Amino acid sequence: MKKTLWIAIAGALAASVIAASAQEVLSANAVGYIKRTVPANGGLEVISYALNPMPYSGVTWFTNTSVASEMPNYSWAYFWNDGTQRWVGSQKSGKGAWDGVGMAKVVLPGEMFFLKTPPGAADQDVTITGEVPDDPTLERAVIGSDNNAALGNPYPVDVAFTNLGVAQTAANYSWAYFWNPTTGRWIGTQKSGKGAWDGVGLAKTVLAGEGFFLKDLNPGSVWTNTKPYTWP
Amino acid sequence: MKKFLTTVTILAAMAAVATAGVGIQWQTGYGGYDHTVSPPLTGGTGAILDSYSVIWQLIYAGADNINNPIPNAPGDPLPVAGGANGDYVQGDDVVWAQRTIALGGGTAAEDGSVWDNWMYRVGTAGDTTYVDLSWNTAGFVYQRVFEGTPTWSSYYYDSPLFAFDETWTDSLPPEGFNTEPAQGAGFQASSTMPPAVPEPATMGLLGLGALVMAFRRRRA
Repeated sequence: MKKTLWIAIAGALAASVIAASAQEVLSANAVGYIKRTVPANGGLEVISYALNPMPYSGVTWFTNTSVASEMPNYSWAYFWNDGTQRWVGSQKSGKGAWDGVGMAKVVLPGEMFFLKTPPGAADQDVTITGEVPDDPTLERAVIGSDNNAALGNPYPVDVAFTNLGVAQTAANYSWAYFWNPTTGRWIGTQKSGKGAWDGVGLAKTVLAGEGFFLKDLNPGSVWTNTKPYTWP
Repeated sequence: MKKFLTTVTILAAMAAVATAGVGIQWQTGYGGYDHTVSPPLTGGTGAILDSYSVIWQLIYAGADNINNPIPNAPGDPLPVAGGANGDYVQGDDVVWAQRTIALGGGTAAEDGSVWDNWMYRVGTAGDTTYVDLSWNTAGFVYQRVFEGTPTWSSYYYDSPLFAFDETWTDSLPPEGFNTEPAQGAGFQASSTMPPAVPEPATMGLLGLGALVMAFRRRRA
């Protein structure tokens, strides 16, 4: 009896080892959630999609994002056009489909865009959902030459504005603008002739999933972000 | 000197940010139905562009802030294209932008945008935003959609008025303005152009015809 028991235990152990080998862990993905609130009744909020939507095809199609699904019909999304220096709008129709630019829009890492609620709608909570990016670096083009670039932290962390590389390398006298969803207006901050951002910029924490404008006097450049966490 | 330069820089930046204007992205949010469709306007048939081409306008309501309607009593003149304020408008209203879309849908040559048979935007071509950065007066706009080329007794639709923000700048997203009167359904051309009234000469001919008919009947 004792021998049979030992054989059974040994068998179970061997089976569990085989099972564990078969389920070898090849990668570790972390899923993240960032909540943003778009104000009621036509209110606007800036978004930076700092997670990779699931399933992830290597690019972030706007229509594949959780926020595009969550916004109600008749909502708007606006994407910045570096060339024309204007926002280009897309509306979610009464039948639930995004039109125009939204249909084929790829949201870049570190790109800011707007979401807007329909007239008469309540505050709309949206959750940026997806895998936490594990790229060691993420790059974002900055148009520069005194043009506005719509930027956001491509990694899902809160960060002091002045700790962002793009704020540090911006030319003196450049401007940055942060969105105030309550007033529906931009709040400006300028980098002085001595290289320091003024009070607004100094005090600003760019939240995960938030964006901002940078009007850099430098010529066009590429902002390279280094992953600020060790896992994943 | 340094202080002066700083002041000038700040003022220049403020001026750049404080430019007033209007920026209105005007389009349908649900779609248009032709005038024969019975409400509710939510069904899958009767798209306006299945039966008609359309002329679609964004119209400034003028200093009087009202939609000056097209007169439609018998004997009223048929509004004409090419007026000083734009095609077919009345009073002090002004056509700010216009699209002409062929039967079945397609590209509006005026802004390069592409529309399906419901007047719903498809594709990313063109620019559907009306922008005037020099405008600084508060006011209203409305949309007008003509079924086909306007003629006697043809149908058209006027949207409700939309109060635009004259302090808009191009760092802000454009204001979205849908054609429909309410969310959850489409719109329909329900107003009509004036009916044709026969001219005196035509009336005379008709009268003569009636006399001839009566005379022939008596002889028979």
